[in-house]
Amino acid sequence: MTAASDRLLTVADLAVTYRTRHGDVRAVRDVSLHVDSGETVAVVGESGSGKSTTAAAVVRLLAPAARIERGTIDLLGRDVASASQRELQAVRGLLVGLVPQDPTVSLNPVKRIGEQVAEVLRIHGLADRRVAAVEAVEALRRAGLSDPEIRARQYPHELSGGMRQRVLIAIALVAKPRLLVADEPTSALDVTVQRQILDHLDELTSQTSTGVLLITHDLGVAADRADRIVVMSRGRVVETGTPDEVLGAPREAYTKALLAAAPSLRGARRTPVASAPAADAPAALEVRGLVKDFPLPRSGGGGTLRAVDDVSFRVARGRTLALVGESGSGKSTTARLALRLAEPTAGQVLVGGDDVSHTRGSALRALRRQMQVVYQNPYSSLDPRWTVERIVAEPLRAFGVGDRRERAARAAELAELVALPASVLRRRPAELSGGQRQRVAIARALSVRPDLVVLDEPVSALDVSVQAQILDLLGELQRELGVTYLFISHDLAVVRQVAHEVVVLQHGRVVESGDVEHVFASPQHAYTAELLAAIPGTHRPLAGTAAGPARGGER
Amino acid sequence: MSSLDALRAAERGPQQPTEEFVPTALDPDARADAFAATATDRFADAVLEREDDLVHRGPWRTRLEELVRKPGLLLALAWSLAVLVAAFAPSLLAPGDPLSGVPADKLQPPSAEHWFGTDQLGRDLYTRVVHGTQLTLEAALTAVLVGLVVGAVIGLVAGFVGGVVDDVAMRVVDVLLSIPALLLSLALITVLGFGTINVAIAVGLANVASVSRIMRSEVLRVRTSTFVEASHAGGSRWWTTLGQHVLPNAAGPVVVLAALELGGAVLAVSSLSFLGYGEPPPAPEWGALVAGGRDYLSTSWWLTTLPGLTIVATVLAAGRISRALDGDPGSNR
Amino acid sequence: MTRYLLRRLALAAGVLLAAYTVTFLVLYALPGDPVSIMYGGESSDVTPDQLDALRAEHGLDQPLVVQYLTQLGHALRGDLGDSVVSGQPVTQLLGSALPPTAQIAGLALLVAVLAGGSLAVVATATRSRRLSGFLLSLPPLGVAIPSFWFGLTLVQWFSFQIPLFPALGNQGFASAVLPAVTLALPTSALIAQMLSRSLLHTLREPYVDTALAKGAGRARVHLRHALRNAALPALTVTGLVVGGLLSGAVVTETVFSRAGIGRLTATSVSAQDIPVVQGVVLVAATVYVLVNLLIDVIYPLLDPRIVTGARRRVAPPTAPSPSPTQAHGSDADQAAARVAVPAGGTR
Repeated sequence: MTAASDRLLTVADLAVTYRTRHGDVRAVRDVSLHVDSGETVAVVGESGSGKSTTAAAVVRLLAPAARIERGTIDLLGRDVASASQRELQAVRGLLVGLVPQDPTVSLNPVKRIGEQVAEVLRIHGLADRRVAAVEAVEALRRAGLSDPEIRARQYPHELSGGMRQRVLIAIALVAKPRLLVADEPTSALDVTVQRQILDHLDELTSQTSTGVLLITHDLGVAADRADRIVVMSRGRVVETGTPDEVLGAPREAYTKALLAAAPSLRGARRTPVASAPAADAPAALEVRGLVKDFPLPRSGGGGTLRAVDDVSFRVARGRTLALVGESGSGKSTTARLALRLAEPTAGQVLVGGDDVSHTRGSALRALRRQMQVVYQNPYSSLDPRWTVERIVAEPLRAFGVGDRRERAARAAELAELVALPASVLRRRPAELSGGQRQRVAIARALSVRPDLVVLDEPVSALDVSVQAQILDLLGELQRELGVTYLFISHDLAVVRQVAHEVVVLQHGRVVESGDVEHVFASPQHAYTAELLAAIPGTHRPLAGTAAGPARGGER
Repeated sequence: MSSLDALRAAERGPQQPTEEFVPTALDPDARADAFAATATDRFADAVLEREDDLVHRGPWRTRLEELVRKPGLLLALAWSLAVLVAAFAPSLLAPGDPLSGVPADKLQPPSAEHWFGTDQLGRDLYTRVVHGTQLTLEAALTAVLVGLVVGAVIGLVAGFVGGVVDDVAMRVVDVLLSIPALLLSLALITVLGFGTINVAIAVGLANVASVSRIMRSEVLRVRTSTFVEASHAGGSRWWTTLGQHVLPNAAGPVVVLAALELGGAVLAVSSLSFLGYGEPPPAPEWGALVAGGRDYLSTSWWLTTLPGLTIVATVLAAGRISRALDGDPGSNR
Repeated sequence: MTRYLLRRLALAAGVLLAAYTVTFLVLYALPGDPVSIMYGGESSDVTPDQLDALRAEHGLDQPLVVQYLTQLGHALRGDLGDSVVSGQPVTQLLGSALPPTAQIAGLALLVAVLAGGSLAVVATATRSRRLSGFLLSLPPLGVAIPSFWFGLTLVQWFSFQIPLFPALGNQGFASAVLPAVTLALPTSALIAQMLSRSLLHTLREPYVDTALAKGAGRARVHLRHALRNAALPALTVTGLVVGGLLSGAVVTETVFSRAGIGRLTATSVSAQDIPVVQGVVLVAATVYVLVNLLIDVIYPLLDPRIVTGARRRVAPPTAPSPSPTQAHGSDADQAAARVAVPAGGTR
């Protein structure tokens, strides 16, 4: 993009291995890439592809079990791969800045913000205490924080996640390094915040023609931000090229598969729309005027927090309604209220036309047979001590369905339904991958043939390709079994693929609702429009992508 | 004793909220999505997948090989076995009589004939240490049992019922923690009187507070975990959830604690018997043996040193096994 | 801050009252009362009538509640009763026993913090795996050594083999060295264990990586970033550590035949002198409560995440800024609703 093209970073034949209990795992093998001044190079891949290890190797902040086997990392003429600790100290911060993955835990909790930014200048002897403090405030201002003087005197816990990530950007850039390594800089943040931060990062680095090595799992982010994309899989570089080349005309099968799975780029619906429901049929689930207040802790001054504020919607039988919102929007609380796992402060919950807002005891338990739930984190929602068969059959046993043999048979049937091999029934969750675990959770939810399944962010803990498989499975199951879904998600791209109707929540209130295609095509509320615009992958028009024509969500 | 208390107190960690659910907006460390939070899990998946081309062995074989690679643990297990044999069949290890001696052989240093030497009455010290194992171990086991059972019940009820019950129980525990365990034991002994069993009960009761605290936090940790809510949402009755999810998952740490406690109890029981509150002489309790050697400190080092080392080795072994049960780096739980 | 302090003070007083009640219940409500424990039993030649007279004299014939309230009333006025054995006021006994114990306990605490702290720092900072492995194996050993045996072993070596220090007694500084070292061993092992564990954990925190990425050297990362964060959880158990020193004094002072609280406790337990035992337990509880009160006051100064007073001034509402930061709304809400994270649980 920029004219200047002196080489900042050259990684050649890099190989990194991790020592594990069962032997060495080659996390990175023969990786070569380079970053020029003013250029943004995105390394894209799924978990375990070696992308984060590559980034860590560039600043030599590898985990203790990792070892660089071979290869060179040439950073402005210095070989980082073989540098001594002292040489590394002179390089880090000064020549290369790092923006880490998770802003919530990457700042020292007991030091003031300003001090943490100024420390870079102090370490490298670039300024004395007083000047460093002034420059730190300036760096915070450049990173887009409002009231930088006040922020500099605050502690990390007083700032939101997005603000903390801006602080980390200020730390990485305060000494004006030539290269910036950003390891999933926004994957822990809400989409709208993610967009602002990435925009701002773009702006800052292009002004100073800083080179950026951007690590991301999100092809959309890479498509929007990068000058060149490096696709990695299982430790190797699969494909390299400009976004147009890689996304427009992928050469490798893996890239094609990855593209096909990425919701933000694909855009089109995964599941054909089921036949329109009869308008007067009782809804599978309806909520009216739901309100939920949480008491705030007395140490914080007391009072209450209204997490859900007058939320109403109805989900027709056999359809999918998505509740969309960012963190703190009250979407998960609404789901818990609908499931009667929490007591509403006011409002009604109707299941199949019956008011169940105040059902208790055995009637409530009977109600659970009609409503089941799939949680977002498959790594924590299955009892680690149980076998898959026992997990899947748990609701059956709870409701006394069948005898032991029949339940085992049903478990096998369910495993087949969610496309798991029968061999997993005897295993424990720890022996399964995340995707397989989520299938187990789905099988468990379906075991008692519920009318309604609440899916609480069912794919947000999974890699894109696994995500796509699970979404496909959910669609198939709905068509086969006619089950109704209440789908909770923060990811609009995903919602668009699976939902029939959508309800957008902000600060516990419904800001917009309606038919998915309709809302996505012409959002009525400014917040919805902003959410849609923040979906990564919508910035850069892609010529001739398979998914190209269906991308109607653009501003 | 006190050290172990503090250790456990440190492991308490931040207290879980008692409210059934805290909305994300209240949690300063809430992450916007689970994707970042589960990064390590997914990475482990990927590693697991890659390991397919590595050699896989049966779980037992792997476990055995791991054991061999840990000489410390092996030693601890061997010592524990010896201690158990000494406790239940002392004559197998030392056929002699611990109470009668040969006055002519008094105060002899360790030799091939008398491994640990002899005391002022010519009794074989090795035989006395072996036969004293039963008294000491019995007291320690009783103490652990008392402390664990009472503490676990209180912690379980407090953690699972919550609300006022929890509040009251934990306030009482707070108060009990404000009195050092050894002093609490001493106060109990003052009332209960001397003797092995009374010492055991006193040591056990003094530990109730810390055990119940750990049990409670474990129960809370498990109770608030997603799979427990999933079970509840799936329609299970609360006692089913308690018995099948909460208890088995909270029990692991309690077993670890039991092993650690046993070491602590051996220390506490021998301290009290050193102070003279255990069985009256000539019963060869370990602590009393060390106390008995005090008067010959300048001339007969073995009388205090060797029983003392026996205690050290036993406590160390219990601690090592406890750490192994806790899943020290390199072994699976 | 004042409100916070007042609340903490009230809480401390409450714990103390409750501790008093617990000791009363243990010592008086369990079957058997001081008189029958002291003078009763088969071997006793005291007649039941005489026992009753003694009970009346000590007020033990009254209902339990009356006894409790009377005793509490006395205790609040600084009267903890008289020793059953010597007849001396308990407060007087405690008063004269406290200074020598405070001497060795203070010395032991100093030694323990220095030794334990430096062991933890060196063990986690060194690049030599062997050294760190060796150092980290020491604390479990220290915890496993019974202090009565360690004390005797010290006497054997440093009084008999190499006569450096007196084996027993209360005379001068030299006589306090061995008891203090004995007392310091389990405490330093505990501090080393806690701090090294905490340091190892902290060194894996992402903010340590952030510091390294700034170009900070190991020493800087270790001392300026990790140590302070790691020391915070260790601080919360100081109360238990000091309490441990007090109970350790029982054994240590017996081994070295030193006068002090510990020795007083041991003799009182042997003689079943209930009022004195109760006094000692109260002293221990008071020390614990005071230490924790001190920590409660210091902690917020060290950890900014603890909110002390009324609502802490939160970030001012984001002014309409040039960039499209309106969507910070949810962020700002989060900041406003932020809650203090209590470290190490509440007491």
